[in-house]
Amino acid sequence: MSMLVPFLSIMLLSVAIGWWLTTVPVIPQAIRLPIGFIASVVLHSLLFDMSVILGLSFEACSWASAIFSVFLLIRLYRLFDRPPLRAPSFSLAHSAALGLIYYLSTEFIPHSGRWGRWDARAIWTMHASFLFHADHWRNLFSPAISWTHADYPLMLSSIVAMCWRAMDKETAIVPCVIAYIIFLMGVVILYGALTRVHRLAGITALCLLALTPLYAKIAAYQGADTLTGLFILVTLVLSVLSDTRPYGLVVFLTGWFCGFTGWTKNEGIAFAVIFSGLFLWHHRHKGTANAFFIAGLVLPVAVVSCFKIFLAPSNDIIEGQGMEAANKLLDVARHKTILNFFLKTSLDCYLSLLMLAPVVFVIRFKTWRTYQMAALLLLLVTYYFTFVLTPRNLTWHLETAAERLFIQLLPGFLFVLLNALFSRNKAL
Amino acid sequence: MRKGGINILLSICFVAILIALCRLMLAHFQDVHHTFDGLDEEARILRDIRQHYPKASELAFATNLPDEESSQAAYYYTQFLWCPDILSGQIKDHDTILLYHSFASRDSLPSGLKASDTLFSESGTGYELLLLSKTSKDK
Repeated sequence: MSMLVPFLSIMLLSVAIGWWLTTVPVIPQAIRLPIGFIASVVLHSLLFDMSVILGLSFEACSWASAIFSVFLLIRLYRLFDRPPLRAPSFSLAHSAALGLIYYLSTEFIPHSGRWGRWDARAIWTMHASFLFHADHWRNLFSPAISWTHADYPLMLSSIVAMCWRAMDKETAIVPCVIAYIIFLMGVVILYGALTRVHRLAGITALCLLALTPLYAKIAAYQGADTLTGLFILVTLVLSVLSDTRPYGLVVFLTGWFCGFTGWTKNEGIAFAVIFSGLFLWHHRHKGTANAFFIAGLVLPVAVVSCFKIFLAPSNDIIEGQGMEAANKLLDVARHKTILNFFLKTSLDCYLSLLMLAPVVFVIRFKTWRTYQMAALLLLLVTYYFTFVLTPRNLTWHLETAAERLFIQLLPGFLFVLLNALFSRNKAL
Repeated sequence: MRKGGINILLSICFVAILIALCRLMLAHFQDVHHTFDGLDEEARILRDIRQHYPKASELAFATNLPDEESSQAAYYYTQFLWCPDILSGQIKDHDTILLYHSFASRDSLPSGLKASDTLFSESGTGYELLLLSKTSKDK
């Protein structure tokens, strides 16, 4: 029974948040429950982190959360007097989408295995092991194992450790299933958000994902890149929805998801900073919208700041910078190597996206001036300069990281481009 | 009537794909659970090491970290890192270094160390986890 409580609590809160989102008509029905689920998992993982740090019982915290969720559901039922979920409608598009999801899952399976790739075990699930052995969690930050990058944000590790704690054992199934759920959430939200624009847009997105097998492959490795990609995608989807009409709840969630992107990976912090700046600038004449956005940012910024200031060691890439940084910036050969590698990776792995971009460029040129597109392009530029300034061997760093970084941007780019292409709003 | 018929057909199609998807993923996760059909063996290795070498205070971090293909060996390798004794280095009077992740060749062992036992050998890749002892002159 105690094993079930955290999972039950997560599901109850998911339904409550998903139901709450029905008050906002601009949010498509297909993505309400997935967004509720992601928010609920993040909140429970934070609850787990708190229980580890403060030495509390996670089971007791889960009971408290489950009771709170039940009260929230009763309150929502009294407010709206209707059930949270409608029976799904079966259309040809939905059946085709499910068929494509089936196909994408078959691409996921061959690369999915026990403990995933070395990076996953050495970083993400290893950090989870420290959190699971709660008496010794501070050992994670020991300089004896600095190679495990203890400065990396802990969202994925906390989710894995939380499930292990609920099951009371460290099992390889958990990171494997979580990797699949993250992969699935990304696909479903991309499809659901684009189907709002046009039924063909969602199917096109799934077809383009199916033509990019690297997405399923990297998702199966059990790293945090698809999680970062998922948070970037949700932030972009909510920001586009709030542009239509700035509902307070949607703008709040935009800030919330944007901030929590920084709790997935260090690259997510770069995205959170870039996107927040652009969002606040874009809505500079809408004080209420900005206030809701900043309110959404408060919790994630507090979490990431506390982690970085009080716990995490300094980042090896930032620490490794010295006087030679200027030399690296002026080294033409270095720029050439990175550009060549970017081009080769794009042609080899992201051909479908490369073919879509010029089409949107011609048909909907103004898309390239939206702040969502600017955020993605600026993040790409940030990745570029990270490689320029890396203290590690450049070729090794490119070969091990570039593919994964592009994967973080893929769902976001697909959403922004297809949303513009299929949108009836000629202003795009 | 015709529209109703199409809807029923689509519903059947939808549910069939959904069931197929669920079965596919369940089979996969079961497969992951039983991979290396040595789950008992895995538990035994970990239990034995912890029972017999509870005071091991130092890990010989491999000069070469295992690459991405050796996840099972890597798992054993990392299983002990959370251990407080290992990380705090509180116990100094040891002659056993707990784990070493060898890169296929025992010739690459650091000087002053010898392999006294093989704890795990990964078929196909040649990766091994070795129990190391200091050679007598270093004791």
